[in-house]
Amino acid sequence: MHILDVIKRELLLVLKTNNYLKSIDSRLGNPNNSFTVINDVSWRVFSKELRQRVTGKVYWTEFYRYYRLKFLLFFYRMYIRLKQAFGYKASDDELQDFELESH
Amino acid sequence: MSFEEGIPVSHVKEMHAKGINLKKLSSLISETFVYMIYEKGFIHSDPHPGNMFVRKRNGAKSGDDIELVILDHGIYTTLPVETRLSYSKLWRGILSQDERMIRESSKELGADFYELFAAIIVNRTYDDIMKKDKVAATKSRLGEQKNSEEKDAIK
Repeated sequence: MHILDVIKRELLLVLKTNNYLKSIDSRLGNPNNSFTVINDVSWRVFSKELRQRVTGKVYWTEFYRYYRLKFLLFFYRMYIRLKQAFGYKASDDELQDFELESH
Repeated sequence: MSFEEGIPVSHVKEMHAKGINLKKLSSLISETFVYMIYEKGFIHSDPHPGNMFVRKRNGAKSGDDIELVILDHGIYTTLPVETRLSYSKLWRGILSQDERMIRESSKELGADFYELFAAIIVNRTYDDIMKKDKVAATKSRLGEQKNSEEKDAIK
């Protein structure tokens, strides 16, 4: 079975766009930026358009998780900044997590 | 049709020399395309870096005040509403590590093999996506991997 044969046609273009965005992001030195953007936008779509289709419980769980992720991202970033401020060097992975990578 | 000035986004050195804020630019590009796909269901069919120009806004002093020019509007595809919503739901499932949501939405998109499908979409193994202790580490969870060991794991 060929995977790309069974998924919806339009998704192929979406996958292509995903790949381009990822490569542009990493070439411009901001490698995880599109995930941050997707997080916000997909939450907006979820809360505006999918809200009527899911049960209240699912909606509020997702609400909690979205803000939790944002909160965690914020604190993780603070933690890395603080670490650098006190002279500890953050590892490359951590730097890339938070787009602090320099040119 | 019109003639537009600008630097192709693929020319990193040139943009750097002109003092354009590259991080701002990459956010701008992601926002534009993600907004088009997720909220409007409108897909540019050839979004390669050569088809995007960047320039400073008229009279702008700093490199932060930039404009993105998208070229080649020959073909656009429209996503049906259902597909668009399922796709957004799939991403919510991936970002908040909800297996049920990933399963449901992949099924709606025509893919029963949800683990593989999620892996295709973010280019990581399914285990990486679902690592519970690494919700915030987007690099190791969703970002690209470079060393060959990790690549072998995917094969």
